Amino acid sequence: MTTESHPRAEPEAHTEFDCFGDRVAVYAGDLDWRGESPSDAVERSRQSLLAMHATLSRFEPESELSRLNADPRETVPAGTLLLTVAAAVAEAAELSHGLVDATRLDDLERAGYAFTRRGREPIPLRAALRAAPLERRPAQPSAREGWRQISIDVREGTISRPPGLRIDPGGLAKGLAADLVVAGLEAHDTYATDAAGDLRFGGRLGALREISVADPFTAEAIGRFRLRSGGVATSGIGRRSWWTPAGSPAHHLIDPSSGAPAFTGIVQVTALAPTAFEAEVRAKAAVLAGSAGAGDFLPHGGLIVFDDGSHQRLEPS
Amino acid sequence: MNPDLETRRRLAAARLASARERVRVIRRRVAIGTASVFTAAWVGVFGQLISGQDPALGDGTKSTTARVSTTAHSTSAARATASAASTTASRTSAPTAQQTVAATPLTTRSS
Repeated sequence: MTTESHPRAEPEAHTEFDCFGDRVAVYAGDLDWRGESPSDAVERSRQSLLAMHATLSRFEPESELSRLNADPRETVPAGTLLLTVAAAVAEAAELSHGLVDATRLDDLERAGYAFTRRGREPIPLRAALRAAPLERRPAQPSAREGWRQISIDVREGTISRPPGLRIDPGGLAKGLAADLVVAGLEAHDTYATDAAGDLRFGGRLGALREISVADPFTAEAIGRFRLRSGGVATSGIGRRSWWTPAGSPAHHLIDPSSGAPAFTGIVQVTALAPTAFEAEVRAKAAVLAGSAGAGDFLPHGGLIVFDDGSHQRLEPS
Repeated sequence: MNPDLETRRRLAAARLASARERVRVIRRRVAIGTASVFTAAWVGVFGQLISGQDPALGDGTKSTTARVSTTAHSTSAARATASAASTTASRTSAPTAQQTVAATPLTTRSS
């Protein structure tokens, strides 16, 4: 592989913007077979991602997701993207054996995540861990299994669920969006989407891309992967966290069995997978599964960071 | 034996041998010519390929070798300084078909 010696290597065209309550970036290199320039491709992708955000944000009252969650009817007409998300909710729950349940919005809001946390600093992770319940235990699936009550009719374009059962795809939507947007970039020599940390990348050249994992305690890189294509996602309790009015630490990864933020002994997991969506599900499931079960959710490899700051790298099996 | 008949037979045999020889010569020339053209074509194509000038890939200066940039990527810095949505593609020198593209290093973080 040529590294420093090639004098003509150029950076990819890229765009970076606010989306999904965070920063999102799209990269593309070289012309595709239709002659679309990389600059045009990333701009087209930016528009797509913003449209997805407008459809799927639970913090926008007029988003299609918010209207679905507020709709008193049992069966509600839905667009293609929302149908895809509803199907993905079930897929995530199946893949995680019920640990990743995107129907726990009531619990999430009760824990304090009822409004966007964009621009709000998370609480210091070490302080949160010191104040958290002493016992660390793996999360368990809920007997309620709200995700099983969602059904979609693709031909009719409808979603059915008991009124009041609300969907919050959260990070799943970011992974899914990263996957959807690269479908329009695959003819380029290189491409990548960074949907608020959920990565999807590849390209006709099969170029190696370096992926760094940020330490949740220091934000320094604690691991690197060199990959040609696929998805990488990181989930953890350090980024979206806050103090409750009672002075307890809280975060957005809910234990479905208790309905409370989970403290499992793991603070962050990075998962590798063929797609960003699958990586997102696997990363979340591994955090929730705790030290004993996390590895089972990382068959494609990953990196686990524990409460004490130590980390374990898993190579693909 | 009838001498005329013998003469005609020898003449026919000679003509047949001559015809066969011509056919052999023609076949040999065709075979050699075909092989020469084929070899010449392959030498040309092979030369183009090893010189990195595969016309199927576009311009002669294009290389299929991918490069991983080893320079530090300023994702964090960019995030810190960029406060509003902005498309930087227009400010970036967009790669063209003549250039090899460096795959930008990325950072995954908890979202």
